[in-house]
Order: sequence, then structure tokens, then C-alpha cells
Amino acid sequence: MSHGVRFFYGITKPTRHFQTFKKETRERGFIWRFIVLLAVSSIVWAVTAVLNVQFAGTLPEYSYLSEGNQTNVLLTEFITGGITGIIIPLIAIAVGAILYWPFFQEVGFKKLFVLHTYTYVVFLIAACLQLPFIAALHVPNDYSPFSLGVLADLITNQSFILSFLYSITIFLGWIWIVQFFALKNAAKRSNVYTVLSIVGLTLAALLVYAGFQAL
Amino acid sequence: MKAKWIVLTVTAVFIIAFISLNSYLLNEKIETEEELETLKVKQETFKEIVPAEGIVIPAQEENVYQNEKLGPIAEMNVQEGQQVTVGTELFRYENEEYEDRIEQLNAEIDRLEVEADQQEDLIGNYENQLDEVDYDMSATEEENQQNQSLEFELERKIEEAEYEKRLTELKIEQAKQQIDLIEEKDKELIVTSETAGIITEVNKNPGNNTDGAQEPVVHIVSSEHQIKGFISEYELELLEDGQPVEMMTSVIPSKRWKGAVSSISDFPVSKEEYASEDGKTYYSFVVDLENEDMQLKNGYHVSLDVAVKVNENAPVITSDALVIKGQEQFVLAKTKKGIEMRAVTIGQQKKELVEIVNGLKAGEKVVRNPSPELVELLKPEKQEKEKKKKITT
Repeated sequence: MSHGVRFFYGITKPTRHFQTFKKETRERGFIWRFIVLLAVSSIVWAVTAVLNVQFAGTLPEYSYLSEGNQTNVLLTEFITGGITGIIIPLIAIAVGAILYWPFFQEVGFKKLFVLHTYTYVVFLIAACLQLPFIAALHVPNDYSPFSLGVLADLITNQSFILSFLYSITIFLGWIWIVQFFALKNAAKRSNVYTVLSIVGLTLAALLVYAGFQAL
Repeated sequence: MKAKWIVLTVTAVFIIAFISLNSYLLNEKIETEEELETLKVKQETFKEIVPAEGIVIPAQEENVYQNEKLGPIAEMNVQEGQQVTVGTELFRYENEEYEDRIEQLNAEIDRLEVEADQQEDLIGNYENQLDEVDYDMSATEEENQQNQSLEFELERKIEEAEYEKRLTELKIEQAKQQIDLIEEKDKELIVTSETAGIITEVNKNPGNNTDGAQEPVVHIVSSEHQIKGFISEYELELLEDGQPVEMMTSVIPSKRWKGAVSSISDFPVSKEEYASEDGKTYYSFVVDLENEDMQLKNGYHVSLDVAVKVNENAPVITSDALVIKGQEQFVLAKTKKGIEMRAVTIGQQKKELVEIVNGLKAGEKVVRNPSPELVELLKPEKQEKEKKKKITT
């Protein structure tokens, strides 16, 4: 028995899609979809980097540069963003899988890697939806309008708290739902254990990430 | 099914409201943020300092020796520790011979004045006799001849007496001149101070010291001070007359004095004068004090800061505007045309401030904390221009 990897179906209909996502099943069609995902990720990151410079003022000097230099800057940002868009998902998915592995050992690293690829698709959708906000609001992608950080910014200046809350978006709930149904089928653990593990591990990872950003 | 749609609708409304509120807040936030942080190039005076050690010395010293030709010293008018000014009488040579001579001359003048008076009277007598010579119409020719010869005789005597009187007056004048001359010489017997200061040594009967040299009668050190500094051979080349110096002494740590280099010795100092353990040769230089306030005492050790190079009103920027690439330094200058990367030559640093020796002028604007990626991307203006020139040629 095998599990056909379909990213969009998995994140939109997780209850049905992950019924075949079990420890004894094998994944079909993952590699090429993963490569396509990396390519899309690369483009999204590249466009985000360009929009950040062009509209959000992440490079304050940009508007004072000559036309030639502006083009050079955008090109550099596009290439750098594109490369980052390939490296970051590889690291993030692998780290996510490693993080979950001790808590869901029976699922195995490979399946957890696949699971986090679904998670990354949600993240990528969030990144795509944020693009028009970068251009319209002139704010860099670090300041997500889907996050709690914007409201927190009104009451605190603590960079750690802000970094943490800016990483908690409305898409996090979606990610948790996808992960829950996937692990419910794959791990056969109690619902409470699964929910607590997912929420706990995600928040712990985000806290560590916020700590690094605040340094 | 209906409940599911209600939940979905409420969730959707909540999400849209949440995103709308966040968007509004982000829009407000970004309006208050500054876009590009620039810095106006200011001016500041920078000094290249060479440290040195020194010692307080009197600004002037005077040794007054006895002139044996003028004889023995009659009296001392000063004592050790006494404060003197320029012109204060120090001591006087004996002058008995001069006084006797003046007395003699005064007596001679008195005698000559009496002689002159007698000659005046004699001239008066002759003139009266001349007036009494009477020419009468009834007198004989012989009588007239006698009167005429008497008249000639009296006129001759008057001329002789007037000549004698003139000689006497000349002698008086000569005697008075001699008195003036002696009095002038007498003044030379009084020795006065040419230095304002303190008497440190008085010796009425000076002998010879161990070197065989004559000892001074009076030794005066001025109350004003100078600093004698010592500098190594490696720093000597940097030293010039007129360079400003700041100094302090551990005796009065709260105070600093200012001055200027007034002379530099070409000859090395002896080890007795300045003992150093670094094996270098040391030279002395003198610093004139500007704000002498008598707090410094002779012999105090002082630390000197000699400003060997002074760049007044040098352009300065803060170090966060400086871009260092290898061994070269650049700034991102904001001009009317935009931002250009410009090579600069930096000088000294004063905390956060960096002296710009070349490449920037006061009043120009530079970017603070320039983005590292931009710094990597941009090329210095001069290099770009040079490349273009090469291509065209």
C-alpha cells in the first residue's frame, strides 16, 4: 500500500488525504513534487527579497542609487533570495523532522520529512499571500499582517517577545491541523499526546528562533 | 451543515478583520520610521601627540661675578632668598679715590670762579677809566695825543682781561666735565640685577670653585619657569619650534598647563641628566609656559603631550559611517545625484569620531550604518571614472 503525495490536497483536505499516511505505507510522487516545491519556494523568496528592497525599504540607500545600481541591487537580491529559498526549506524541513523524531519515533524520519514538506507548503502560501502587502503597505515580510506581532508591537518593545509573536500567524493553526491529522494516522498515539507534542514542539522551536533573532 | 457554514463565516470574518486591523497598524508604524540615516560631516581639531617627560626649570638664571679691575666690594645690598626685580642694586665696589677727586675738582672750581670774578671786576675798572678819558677843544695837541695813547692802552688791557676771564671759565667747564665723568664712573661701581627673580646665593668674597672657575658674587634665578623636556632620537624629527604642548604633573594632578616648544637641542643629553633604560639617545627641548601661575616649582617632574601635527577643522565622521574593504576605507556619500561610494583617507580617531584627511568636506552627508550588501555591490566613484577613461582611450 502506498500514499500518494499531493500537497494542495493534503493541506486542504487533511482528514481524507492523510488516511493513507501510515507507517507501513510508502510515499509516491514525493521527489519531483519536492523539487517543484523548492523551485516555487525559490521564486517566492526571490520576489519577496526584491519587493522588500523596492517597496519596504529594507535597503534604505536603494532610492538614492543610480538606475544602474538599482538594477544591480535588485538582481543581487533576486539571486540571493532565490538561493535562500532553496536552502531555507531544506534546513527547516529537516530540522522540523529531527525535532519531531524523538516524539514520533515509530513514524520514522522520512515520513516526518514528508509531513514537514506539507507544513512548508502552508508557509509558502502565507509567503505568497504576503507579497501584495509588502508592496501595498511598504513593510518587509518580517512584519506579517497575519501575525500577532503587530498587536504586540502596540504594547511592548521587547525584541524577543515581538520576534516570537510575529512568527505566530493565523497559518500556524492550519499547520497544526495538517500535522495533527497526518500524525494521528501515522503514529497512532492518543489525540492529547499528538496535540500537545505538535503545539509544544512548534512553540519551542519558535521561541528558540525568536531568541536567535533577538540577539 | 448550516452550523459549519456559520463557523466558517465567523472565522473568515474574524480573519479578515484581524488582517485589516494589522494592515492599518502596519501602515501607521511605517510612516513614523526614518528611511535613511545620514550624518553631516562636521569639523574638529585633531592633534598627533608625542608623549615626553620633562622637568621644571627656571626660565632665566643670572650669575654676577666680581670685576677685579673695579676693586673690592664695599657693600652687599641683597641677601639670600630676597626677591629682586630688574634694576635692583645688588652690591657696590669701593670708590674712595673717586670721592677725593670730586672734592678736589669742586675746590678748583670754587677757586676759578673767584678768579673769574676778579677778572670781571678788573675789566669793569678799565672800562670806567676809558669813560673818564676827556677830549677837550681847548686842549693842546700834545694833550690830545696823550689821551689817545691812554685810550689805546686801556682798550688793550680790557681785551687781555677778557681773554683771561674766558680761559678761567673754560677751566671751570673742564672741571665740571671731569666731575660728571667721575660720577658716571661711580655709577659703574654699583651692580644691578638684570633678572627678576630670587637671590639663591650671595658671596661677598668669592673664591674659586673646584674646577678653578670664579664663583659668582650673586646667583639669581627667575621666578618664571620653563620646562626642559626629553625626547628620543626616533621622535626628534617630528619636533619643531612653536609646536603646542600640554603638560601635567602628578604633584598637582587636577591641573594642566599649556606652552609651546621654544628650542630644541641638537646634542644628546648626558645619562646624568636623563637616565633611560631603553638604550635610546635622548635630546632635550625647552617649552615656554603660556599660563604660568607660580604653582609649578623648580624640579617638579612633568608629563608632556607635544602636538607634533595639528589638523584644525578637519572633517570628521562617526565610525559607523566608515566602510572598510581590505586596507582601504570608503564612505557612502549622499549627493544631489544620489549615493556614491567614495574612497577616503582617515587620520586619527577620537572615541567614535574619525578624522578624514582626504575624500570628504565638512557639510557633506554620509550614510550611517550602510547596508553590507550594498557596500559589496557598489564600486568606488574614482575607480569607476578611471575605468571609463581607460575604455575611452
